Amino acid sequence: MESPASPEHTRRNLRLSRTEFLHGEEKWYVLDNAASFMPGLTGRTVTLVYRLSVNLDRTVRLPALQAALAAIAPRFPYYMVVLRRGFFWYYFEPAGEKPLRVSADSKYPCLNLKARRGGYLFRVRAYDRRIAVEFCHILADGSGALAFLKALLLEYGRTLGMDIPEAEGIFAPGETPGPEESEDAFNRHVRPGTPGPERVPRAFHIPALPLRRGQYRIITGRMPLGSTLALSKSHGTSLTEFLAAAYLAALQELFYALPPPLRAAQHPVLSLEIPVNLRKLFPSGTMRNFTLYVLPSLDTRLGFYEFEEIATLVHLFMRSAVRPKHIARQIARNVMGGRSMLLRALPLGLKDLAARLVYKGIGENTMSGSLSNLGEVKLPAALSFLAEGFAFIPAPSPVCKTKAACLSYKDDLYFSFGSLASRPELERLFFSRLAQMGLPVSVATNL
Amino acid sequence: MALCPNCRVELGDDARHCPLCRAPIRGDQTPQGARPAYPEQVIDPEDLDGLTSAEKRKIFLELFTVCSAIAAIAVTVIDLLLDGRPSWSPYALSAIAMLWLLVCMPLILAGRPWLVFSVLGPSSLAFLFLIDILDGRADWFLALGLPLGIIGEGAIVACGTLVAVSRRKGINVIAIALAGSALACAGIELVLSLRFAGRPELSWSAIVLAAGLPSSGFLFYMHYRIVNRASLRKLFHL
Repeated sequence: MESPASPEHTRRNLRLSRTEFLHGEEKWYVLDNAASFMPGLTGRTVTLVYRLSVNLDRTVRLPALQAALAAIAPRFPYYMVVLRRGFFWYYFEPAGEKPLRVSADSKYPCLNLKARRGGYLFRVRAYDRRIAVEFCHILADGSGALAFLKALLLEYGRTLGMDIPEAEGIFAPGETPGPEESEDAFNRHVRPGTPGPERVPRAFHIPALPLRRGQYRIITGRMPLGSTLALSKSHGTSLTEFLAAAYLAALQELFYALPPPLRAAQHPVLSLEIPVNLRKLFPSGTMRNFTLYVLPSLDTRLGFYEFEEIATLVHLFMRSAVRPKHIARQIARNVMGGRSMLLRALPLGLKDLAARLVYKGIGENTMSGSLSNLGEVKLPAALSFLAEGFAFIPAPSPVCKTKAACLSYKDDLYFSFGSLASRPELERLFFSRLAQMGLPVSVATNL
Repeated sequence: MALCPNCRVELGDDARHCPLCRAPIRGDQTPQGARPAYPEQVIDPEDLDGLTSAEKRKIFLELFTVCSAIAAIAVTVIDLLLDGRPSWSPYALSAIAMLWLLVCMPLILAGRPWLVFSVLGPSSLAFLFLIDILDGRADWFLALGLPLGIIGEGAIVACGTLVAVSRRKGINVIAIALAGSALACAGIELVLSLRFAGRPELSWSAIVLAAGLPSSGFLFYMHYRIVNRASLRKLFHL
């Protein structure tokens, strides 16, 4: 059982978890703990932009979508902001009269959102029957983006003249945002004195040639949710654990397919980053980032792993790692590090430099890939007629090269790989393994 | 309802272009073929939100013209205040006018290099002539300014034309520039020697030619025979 935090700590945490402030009559926002170091990491390819999209049963009507966006955007004031540089930290400022327009979709999603150039940190794109929102991680995690997309979809349906009643959990125009929506939940839930997590070894990275700059390959596989769940259950795992096991198995196959001299030069540990939605472990209604990750891994020095063994290892690891006490160690490391006077006093330029080093050391170097499962997307019945399918595309990563994200909607699971590698070897190995297990997978790509 | 051929979204009935990709909309237009999962076009929405190249050029031209006008007024007023009449300011005004032409003509006539040259070539010679006669005497333009100007402009036009017509650009661009410069040096020395020594002579320019032409030849050989696909971008990328 967890020991209760002292009242003094609780008060301090509550004070520091507030991100919304007033300067005169104008609001400004502090970045949440996870986001505070992200701006320094962004660049031309590292956009930290992921995408959630919904496929409709009809072609998108642009004037209606634009009207819906204009109606719903003020409900999310903490997203209607631009990033500014302070002397010590970045901060958000309301975007004011800056127009928020629906953008054209591109062959390569998730690219070219210049977070540090004073534009919005999210955008809405339309193509054919698809409405997509692309969010920079500086602004929010997948849960926040999904809430925005659902609210936009509901308002779009109403603008089209559909009779859609209010739905629980979907924001509507005119509501007043709750103060907890913009809170920094990391700062609220940190427990000072908690030891940091153990160091993890460097992980194997796919030694693939990169795609040309400005390209980003997306491969989305659609498979029946019921069959996939049944298959997961037959292996004694949850859906996420099963998909993670298949991902690790594909990575292992890729590792052993390398020529021996090249393989010997690689790091032998295959690690998969799995983001965990902390709202399920710690109470919070934040619409900003509240996600940390766990890293199931295979050490290839110990030998080859059969799929059953990988599934068992991932299952056991996830059972022990996705617990408040375990995650609290990561929160403590990140938040208490950010609270240290030495770090706070560093000018922003030096912080950006430090952020790159820290992210390299404890972030990208420790993972071979990533699998983010947003879970089941639920819509009210009146709205589910309009939405035929969803997709979740991960942000591009030049180091891991390939990352994956998935979600389920109605009877289907949508699993997307986003890759900067020139050849889709990992994707082929992953989907062909699922197909061999008897899952009918239909695949769509942009390249 | 109008449909954008690129974005495949429905637009307002009165839409004349797609607000997303700016494609013009015609009434009889409907997207053909299968529905690809992603559009074929690569679009950076922030580029569409920004100014077009023509708009940026227009703003720069306006700014530069205003700055040039301020500089011209300032030098004229200062000259009049100091000397009570135009003394040195005509030189400065000529230089400002020439600078305006050099900077603004390539922007006004963007994409039409021959037209740019046909304006700037005679203007440059006219500028030299003007500088020569401003002191009331025409003593160096015909003997030096005109031939040296023609040699300089001829070298630039010849090199530019050769670069433009070469199908594969790489080290050959350096070779052309090197050969053009060496030949221009020889021409300059010939003109100078005729003016000051009364006879054509090649001394320092002979060294330039002896070094430049073989080097240029070697670079041509490298380009067309050895490297074949070399490009300046690849060779000198930072």
